[in-house]
Amino acid sequence: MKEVKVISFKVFRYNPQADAHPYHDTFEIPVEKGITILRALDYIKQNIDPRMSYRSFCHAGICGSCAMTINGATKLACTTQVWDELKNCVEENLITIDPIKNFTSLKDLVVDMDPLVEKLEKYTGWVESTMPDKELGKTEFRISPEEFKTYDSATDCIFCASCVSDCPLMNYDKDYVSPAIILRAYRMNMDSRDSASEKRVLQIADEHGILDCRQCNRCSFVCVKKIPIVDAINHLKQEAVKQKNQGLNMLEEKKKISP
Amino acid sequence: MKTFDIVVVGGGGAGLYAAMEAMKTNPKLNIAVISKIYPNRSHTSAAQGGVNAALANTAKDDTVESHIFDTIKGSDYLADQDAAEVLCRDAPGIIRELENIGTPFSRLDDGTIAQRPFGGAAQPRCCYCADKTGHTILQSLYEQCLRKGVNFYNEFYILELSHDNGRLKGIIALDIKTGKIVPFNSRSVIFATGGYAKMYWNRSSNAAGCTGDGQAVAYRAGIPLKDMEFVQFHPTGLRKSGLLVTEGARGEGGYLFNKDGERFMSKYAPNKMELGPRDLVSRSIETEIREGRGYDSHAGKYVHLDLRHLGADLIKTRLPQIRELSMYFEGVDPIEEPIPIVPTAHYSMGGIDADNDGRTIMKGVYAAGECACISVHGANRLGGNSLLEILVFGKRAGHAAAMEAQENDPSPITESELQRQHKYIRGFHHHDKHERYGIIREELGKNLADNVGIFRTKALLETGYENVVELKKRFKKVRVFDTGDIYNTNLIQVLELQNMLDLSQTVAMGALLREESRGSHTREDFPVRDDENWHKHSMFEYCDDDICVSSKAVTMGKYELQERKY
Ligand SMILES: Cc1cc2nc3c(=O)[nH]c(=O)nc-3n(C[C@H](O)[C@H](O)[C@H](O)COP(=O)(O)OP(=O)(O)OC[C@H]3O[C@@H](n4cnc5c(N)ncnc54)[C@H](O)[C@@H]3O)c2cc1C
Repeated sequence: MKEVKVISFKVFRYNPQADAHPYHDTFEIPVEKGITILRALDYIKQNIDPRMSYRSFCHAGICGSCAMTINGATKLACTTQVWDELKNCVEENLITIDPIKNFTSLKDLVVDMDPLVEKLEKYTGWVESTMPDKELGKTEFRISPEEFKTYDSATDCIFCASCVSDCPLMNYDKDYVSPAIILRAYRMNMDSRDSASEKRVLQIADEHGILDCRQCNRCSFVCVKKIPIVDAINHLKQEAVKQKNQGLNMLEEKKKISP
Repeated sequence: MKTFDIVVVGGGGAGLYAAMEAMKTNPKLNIAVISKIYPNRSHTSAAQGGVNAALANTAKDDTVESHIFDTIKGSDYLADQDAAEVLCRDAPGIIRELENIGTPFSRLDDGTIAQRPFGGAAQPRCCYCADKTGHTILQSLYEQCLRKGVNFYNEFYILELSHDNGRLKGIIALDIKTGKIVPFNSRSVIFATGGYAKMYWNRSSNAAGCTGDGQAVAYRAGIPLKDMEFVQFHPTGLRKSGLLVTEGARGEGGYLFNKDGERFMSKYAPNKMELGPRDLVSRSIETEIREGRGYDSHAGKYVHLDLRHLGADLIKTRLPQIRELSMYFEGVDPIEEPIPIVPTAHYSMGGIDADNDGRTIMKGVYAAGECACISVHGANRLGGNSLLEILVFGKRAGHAAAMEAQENDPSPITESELQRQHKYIRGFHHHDKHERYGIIREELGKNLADNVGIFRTKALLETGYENVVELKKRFKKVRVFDTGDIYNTNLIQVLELQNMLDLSQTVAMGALLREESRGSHTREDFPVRDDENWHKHSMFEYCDDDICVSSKAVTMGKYELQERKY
């Protein structure tokens, strides 16, 4: 009992070497039940148009390469079932596939990820351990299971950028720190081994920073790992406000002292 | 042209550890990491189970000695005992170091790193972070490399190791984003490109890019490969994709059924049933399928893993990942339907021959991680030992390269070398080419699964080898239809296919020659281990598109050869 349906895929195409403007191509293929969007794209690439480009790697929902805009919503192509998507089609049995939003297309569905990676560096996206280099490897830090729980879910992040794609703020401020980066900052700041939390809060509280966020909750909603990103944002926002106020007070103090 | 001190090829756990350690050893060095995907997406992230180290947190009486013995026994005595000792002795320190720099391990109540039992280990010594161990280790290493200012060349694909009669000059890579061919002149090169088990294609748990590129590039440059015939199969892969259903499903009480509705493990392991060791369960499933008691489908033959009797509650609370996986990738909800499964190629024990600091026979060239064969896994690796291997030997190779890089003074990579690559790549567009890579790739995977798979015989292996040779001939006619420069994945997939073809020839050849059964290598026509003739490593060298085979002694130590029984 092989269940098969004929389904059309309307895919975003753009090759800067050949095309003046992006356009869409439509491919009609037979799809068996149980096939993911990514496998459908693989089928198209293998059998119809080998020129079509998209990123994919693990096919198992863990590497974060294949986020795309599928029928208007950002998802991982490898964990989305074609048959499930049929109920989201505007036109019957026609699935639209576009690149993630708020990034520039390099070719077809492949976008330039570098701006996001650069933000990882700009906003200290790593633990700065309190342990000096020469002491490393000798003893364990003791971390309570409770502390682990505070950042357990945040470490699920696979940097697929779905949250960045759907963040309305990113839409008009490409320099906005972005939900993915705030989540990282939260994860680092909750870690008792880290020594850079104040620096990080100052960085994300700066211009294009966390205070611009209007807590619309889109990021948590689209997160493919179901991470409550907005909770992390709320937490850091309070910290940021505190630090900002302290900073302002200090400025006031300074003004008073130096006439 | 500037000269790098170290070029690390590969940004998985092994490559990132190497880069981090090299920066630590000498911060003045000019180090580059090139990776065909963004490093944080490397396949290390797929490892769920954990990483072994005798920390003795969970079992207070665990020892490094016990870990060493388990590793050697698990390897079916093909591991080099000095290497296994290095692996296990370095383990506690390296896990603590990872912990110290921020890796979020799961914890015991006293705040120390938690450990759980794992196959083939006498003690619970597997450290983990929930079911995302590899993912969190990879993120930590990537973050620390960013912090230390490692130069990343993301989405660069290695084409060739450049050398002058064995004197290293560097590497040549393709910038995937622009299509430019770029020379990386370097005093040393560390290969850390991961495994080759994806050559089994739809019958593999590996990512699409685990195509053995580093091994193939090193091999073509004259560096020998070792023990290529040893490929580990995991019993429960999903039928359509080969993706892994972890042991948890059977651990919680899942049943295996053939198409006659028989719980067939009763014939093979009447006591342990579904919980027998990996290789035994794999062979049992394969036997059922071969003898016609499997289900048949468009996506291949399979048996059922049935969880329905466990009930919706247990499945939802204890096996949510497995449920998700089978819904995402098979469209099957295990609460309502059995999961179609088939054994899947999972791990490659073989690789670039290297010593305990990752050195290969070419001065300045190192290898670490799954792409290397040091050898610590011998004929069969233990779960939790491969993450450990990539960390321990990544670190050691990074350190050795940092100490030794200054000794080398490479001559520049020439324009004509770049031109040759350019011409080679352009050649794939020629209109007299007509073969499609996708078809060859699928045929290769099927050929390997059918003829160079779990059960091997002379006749099958001969067929398997000849088929590979035939596919290699057809590959010469493969066409790259995308003639553009920018992000040409059509080209990358063709280049990866070439690497899989070159390596699969050594896998088939090694399996054909090795007339014994040891670890993952099961010869039905030679069902027992033959220490007298075969207690040795197989070595493969590239001789003008043919293979020169030789052997190398196994380094023994205090553990005598014994029968491997569990
Ligand atoms: C599903 C699954 C589960 C596993 N679970 C466990 C477990 O629980 N415990 C355990 O110990 N082990 C486990 N393993 C094995 C373990 O994950 C791997 O052996 C290990 O992660 C390999 O790491 P690596 O650094 O050698 O390679 P990888 O992580 O594969 O990295 C390879 C790197 O090389 C780069 N590269 C490859 N080719 C090229 C090229 N041509 N040019 C440039 N760069 C290139 C890639 O971009 C990548 O960055 C598992 C494996 C799988 C498949």
